[in-house]
Amino acid sequence: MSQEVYEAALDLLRRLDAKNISKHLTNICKLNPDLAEDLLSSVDVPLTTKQCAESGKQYLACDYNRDGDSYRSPWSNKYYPALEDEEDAPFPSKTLREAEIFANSSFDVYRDLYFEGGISSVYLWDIDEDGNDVSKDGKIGFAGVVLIKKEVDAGKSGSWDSIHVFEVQPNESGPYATYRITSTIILDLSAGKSEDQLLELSGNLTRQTEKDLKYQDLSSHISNVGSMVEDIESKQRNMLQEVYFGKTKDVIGDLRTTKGISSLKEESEKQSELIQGMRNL
Amino acid sequence: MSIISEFVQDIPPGEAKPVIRDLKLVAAEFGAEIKNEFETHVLNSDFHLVQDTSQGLLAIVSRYTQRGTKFIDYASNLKFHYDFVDQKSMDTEEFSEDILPEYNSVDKELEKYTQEHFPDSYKVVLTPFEEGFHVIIVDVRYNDKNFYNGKWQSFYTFNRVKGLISGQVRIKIHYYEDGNVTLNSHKRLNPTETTVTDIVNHIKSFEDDYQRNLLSSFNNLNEIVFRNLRRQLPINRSKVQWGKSIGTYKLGQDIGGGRE
Repeated sequence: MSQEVYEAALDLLRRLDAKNISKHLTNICKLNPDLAEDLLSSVDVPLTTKQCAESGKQYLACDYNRDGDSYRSPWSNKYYPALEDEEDAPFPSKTLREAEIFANSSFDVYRDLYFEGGISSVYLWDIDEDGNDVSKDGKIGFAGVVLIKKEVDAGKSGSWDSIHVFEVQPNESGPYATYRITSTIILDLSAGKSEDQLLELSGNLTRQTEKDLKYQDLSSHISNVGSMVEDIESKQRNMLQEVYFGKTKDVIGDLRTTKGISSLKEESEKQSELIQGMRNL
Repeated sequence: MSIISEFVQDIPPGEAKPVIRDLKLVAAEFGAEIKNEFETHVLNSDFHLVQDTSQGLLAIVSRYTQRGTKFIDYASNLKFHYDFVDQKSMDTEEFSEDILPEYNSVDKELEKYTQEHFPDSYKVVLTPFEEGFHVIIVDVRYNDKNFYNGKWQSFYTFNRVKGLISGQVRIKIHYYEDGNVTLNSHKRLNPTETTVTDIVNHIKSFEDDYQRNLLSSFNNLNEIVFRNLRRQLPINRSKVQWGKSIGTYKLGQDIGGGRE
């Protein structure tokens, strides 16, 4: 696979109607199987929901908690459907798993306060180059992903998917750590669909955020990521509102005006006469 | 539907060139199919607006304006070849065709109507067929510099013999700065009685209604659906107190379940 072909596949997925991104992604992988692995791990698609048999709770699936066709539950730390050989599957180290449990209960509170429903899941993994597991003092870096999904009207009129992939790099010398978060929000809205009419607004927006923040221990990294995600989502919500409802509405008005153009011209001439008149007073 | 045609259907307005370039790289062995599917798509459903600056020609490429291998434009009495991928007209030459007697009056009214309501780059054509007219309006707003492109397309068929008009209006808008957002909308005009003299009035009121309804559905989506997905502020109106004591918040339900 050449870099050029991979870039072309990414460009396609950035241009073709994002409502069908899962279908287009599958189709590209069918036509060009060499691209599959890289594309599946770098393109964000709407999250799917799984059931954790042990806890009875629902959780979210993505490439980061996947092993083959199974997905690890953040509630029980078990893969579903069960793996034949769990020993080879990826798991966070013991201390990181404790942080993962704390992260899941923290983001559950966040989700409840802002989304009043929906599902959230957080997955963490070790990234230390020397192979050290994270420690309680928080001095060793790690990575993770925060996922949230909320649907209105069983997803028929609207759905929101947040995917925040982050990396924590504590500074060796000081009490600071660098947090890098890539956030994608997939928003899909629909005002009914029939043979006779359709209105769909769908797609995704991505932004990257990097911040240096003070930390005390491992759990304070989770709190820092939490307040960053809270901030990012509030900003992104405004951006989504601006693009979905502001931008597109402006373009509709650019394409066609309900008022006649000659009457619009007349109005603006009257307006400028009025302003001119006031200036001359 | 073939995989290639599934891609082609979802090409955003004004971005055929980069998408086809990408497709040819990703699906190299499907070059001929990509070309064919794309041409079929343009001719049958996604009409192109073409500008030939040397001739001052603005014309519509569709199967309704196709004559043999060329495309005609009644207003300028010209016909031309069209390069679908580069979206350019070529080999422009003079053209004439006998038209129905009602043609001129309807054409004039249409021109007046579109001038009043389509401020940007647009073209309207009236193409006669045995039993009546087709009316096509294509209006585009391409702004790659600011990462958005939009297109309005109307297509109507007036059957003179039956006295019926039917058709469809479509809007597609693509916004792609730091993301990929599409607005997709259409509304169908089911066969309705009208007369030759009333065609344009009919189109105008259908399009006015469509646009007004579109804006009110927009407000509903914003104020009802979007607001119900994620709140601007939490229920208790203050930011989350992250940290070890976060467990003291009372959840509105069992952790991890849905509220529905």
